[in-house]
Amino acid sequence: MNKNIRHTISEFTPSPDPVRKDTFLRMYRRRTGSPKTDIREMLGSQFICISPAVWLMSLAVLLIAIWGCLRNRNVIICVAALMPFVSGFAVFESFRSQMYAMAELEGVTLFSLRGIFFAKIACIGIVHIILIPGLSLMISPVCQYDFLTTGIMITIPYLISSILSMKAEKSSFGRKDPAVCLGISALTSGAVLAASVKSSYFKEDLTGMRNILFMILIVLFLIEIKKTFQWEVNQWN
Amino acid sequence: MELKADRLTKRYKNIIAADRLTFTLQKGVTGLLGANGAGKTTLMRMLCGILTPTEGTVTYDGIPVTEESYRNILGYLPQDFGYYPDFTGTDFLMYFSALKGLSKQAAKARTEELLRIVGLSDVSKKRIKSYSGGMKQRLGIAQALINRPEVLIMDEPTAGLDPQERVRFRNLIGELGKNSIVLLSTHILSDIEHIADRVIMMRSGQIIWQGTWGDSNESLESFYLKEFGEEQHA
Repeated sequence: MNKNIRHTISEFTPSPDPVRKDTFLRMYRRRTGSPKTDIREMLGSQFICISPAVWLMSLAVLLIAIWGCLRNRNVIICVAALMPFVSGFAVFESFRSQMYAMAELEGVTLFSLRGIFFAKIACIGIVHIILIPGLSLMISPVCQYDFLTTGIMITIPYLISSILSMKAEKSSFGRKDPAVCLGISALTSGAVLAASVKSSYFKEDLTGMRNILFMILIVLFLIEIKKTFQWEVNQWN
Repeated sequence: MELKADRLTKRYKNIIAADRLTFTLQKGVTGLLGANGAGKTTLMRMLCGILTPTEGTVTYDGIPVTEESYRNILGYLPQDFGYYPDFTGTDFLMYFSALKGLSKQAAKARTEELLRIVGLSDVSKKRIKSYSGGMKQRLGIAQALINRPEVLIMDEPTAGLDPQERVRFRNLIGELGKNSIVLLSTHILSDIEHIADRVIMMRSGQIIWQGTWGDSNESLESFYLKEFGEEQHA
C-alpha cells in the first residue's frame, strides 16, 4: 500500500482498543492455526546472531590459504594448526545460549531449544562444509598432496578439537567456564605444530593410517553432536 | 481455555521438587506463593514444557505442553534471564519475535508497541548492558507478551521494579488476566491480593492450599506468615 494512503488512513481511523485487538488476533490465530516453523527462518534468526569471531576465524584461515596459493607457499601446517580454532569458536558459539542465560527463554519459543541449537550448528556447519573443501582445493596444489589427502590433513585437527570441546562444554568444568574449548583449541593447535616437527603427521606414507583415524573421528564427532543435542534438551532435567 | 496439571511430580535423585500436583488454571490471574525452595520454579518450568515431569501430565485444552502449538500461545518470564551482550532493547525483542514466528513487519510493529507499553521506547537503541535492573525486568515482561499469549507464566515479574512501576505492571498483569491464563509467582503479597483471582500455596513441593482468596476471612499476609513464618526464619 502507498505510504501516503496508509498515513491518511491511520489519521482518520482510531487505533483499536488493545484488549479487543489482542482478543481478535488470538481468535484469528485459533482459526488459522499456529504458524509452522520454517527452517529458513530458523536458520536466518540464528545466522544474524552468530558472533563475528566465528566468521572472522574462518575468514582468517581462508585468507592464509589464498595468500599461500597466490605466493606458491606451502601453508598446510599453518592452516592445519588454525583449524582447531575454527572448530573451537564454533563450539563456543553453540553453547552461547547457556553462557548468556538465554536458554530458558529460547526454550519456550516456537523453535524450541533443540531447534535453535540445530539452527546454530547448521549455520556454522554449512559454512565449514564449504570452507574445508575450499581450503583443500586452494592449498593442495602448493603442498603437493592430492585434494582428498589435504582435506583429511586439515580436517583431523578440526575434528579432534570439536570432539574434545563438546565433551568439555558438557562437563561441570566446562559449564563454569565455556571458554575452556578455546584452551582445547590451543592445545590441539600446539599438538599439530609439534607433530609437524617431531613426527610424520604430514608425510605421505601415513595416508592409510590417517584415513582410518579420519573415519574414526567422523564417527566420534557425529556421536558427540547427538549427545550434545540430547544434553541441550535435557539440561533442565 | 484450561491449563490442567495432573499428578505432576518431579524427582531429582532423592529430592522431590514437586509432589503429585493437581490443579486446573482458567482465565484469570493465579498467584503462586511459597517460600524459597518450595518448588515454584520447578512447577513453572514444567508448565512451560522445558522441564519434563518424572510423572504426571500438563495439558492446555488437551494439548500436551511439549507441543509446538502450545509454545505458540505461551508467554514466559523466568526469574533470571540473560541477553546477548551486543543486543539493544529492540534487538532483543526482534530476536524473540523471530523465534516466536512473527514476520519481520509484524515483529517491528509489535516491538515498537511493547517498548511503548513497558516505557522503554527512549532507550530502545541502547545496549541492554547499560539498562538498570528494573529496565531489564520490563524488557523481560515485554518479551513474554510478544506473541499475545493465552497462557502467561511469570516468575517474580515485579522483582526489581520501583513501587510506581510495580503498581503499573500489576495493573497490566491484571488486565492481561481478563483474556488469558496468568500464573505469577511472587513474594509480594499485596500484588497477589490486588490482582489474583486464585491462589496456590506450595510448601516442600506440595500444594498446601488452593482456591479463591476471597473465600477466606483471614488476610493473606497473616495466613502466609502462619504457614511459612517458621520456614523463613529457619
